[in-house]
Amino acid sequence: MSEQDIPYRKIVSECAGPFLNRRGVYLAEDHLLCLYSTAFSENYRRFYFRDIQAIQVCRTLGGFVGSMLLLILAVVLCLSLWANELNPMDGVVEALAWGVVPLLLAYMIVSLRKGGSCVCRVQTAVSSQVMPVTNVRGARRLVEVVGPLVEAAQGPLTPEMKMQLSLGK
Amino acid sequence: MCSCGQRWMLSVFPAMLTPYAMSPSGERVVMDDQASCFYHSSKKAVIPCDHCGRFLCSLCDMDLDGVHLCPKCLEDPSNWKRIDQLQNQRALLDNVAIALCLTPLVLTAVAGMGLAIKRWQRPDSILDLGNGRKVLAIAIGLVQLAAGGWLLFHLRGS
Repeated sequence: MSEQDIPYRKIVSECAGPFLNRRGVYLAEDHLLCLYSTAFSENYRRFYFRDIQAIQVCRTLGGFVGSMLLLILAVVLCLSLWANELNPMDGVVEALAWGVVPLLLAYMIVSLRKGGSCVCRVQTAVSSQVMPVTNVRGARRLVEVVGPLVEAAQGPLTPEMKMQLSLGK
Repeated sequence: MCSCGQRWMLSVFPAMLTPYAMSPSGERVVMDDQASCFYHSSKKAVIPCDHCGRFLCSLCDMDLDGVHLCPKCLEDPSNWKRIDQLQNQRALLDNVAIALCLTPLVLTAVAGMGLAIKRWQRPDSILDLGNGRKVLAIAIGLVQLAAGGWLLFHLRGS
């Protein structure tokens, strides 16, 4: 079967930059495809279900810090608008503030809906690859969709295996 | 919660406990009339390369979902196109084509609008025909930029 015939199902897809940069995780019948795309080329990494040992999701502070900075900026702009009403200064500054504050608030709401930032890794016997998923909601979706497929390929974890893992192999 | 304070989630699968499989090292040639590996003359050939036909021992056999290649053929990038699992990069020539079509649109729009704005105060014709054509140039430039932006937005969406 050629690559053209393999149907890939999107699990997570994110915009990674201003110039048509995209990254995401797609699902095939027997493997995961990690896509890293710029405007004019795509790079792939494949992880077969039989090789996946673990999926780790670790929350990071980047999203929280970014949201706080945006909130501070929005508050500063609101204060400047309020001060501007008391002492009108510049129409351009006022227009800029009125345009920027809703955008900042909209971006914060979208970030909050995504559940914060995280690092998601897939571990195999020979590698630990960071996945192109940076928000908790996407990582949860990845685990929910991929976990059962990996278990179907490898079989479920038996109680003996869980005991072995808890004892540190 | 980890001892370092970070919150994390871990999903573990049985492959974590699977022992690392030793790859076959190849059987030695026992009799003189046995075919030997092209790269290891003392090892028995088990399969030919699907690309070049050289005999390979089990150590040299690179099995990619049923396609058997020797190390030399696997190294050659010209063979990677034939094997789906080795395709790790592709050029998006459709985006290149669209960029080639859009770039003149944006460049001419910016140049035309810049020129019209720069020459706004100075009449070009001795007859002083007004700024109507400059307004038209700016309007056309804005339409070009809007069209380019709309196409770019749809590219991102697709």
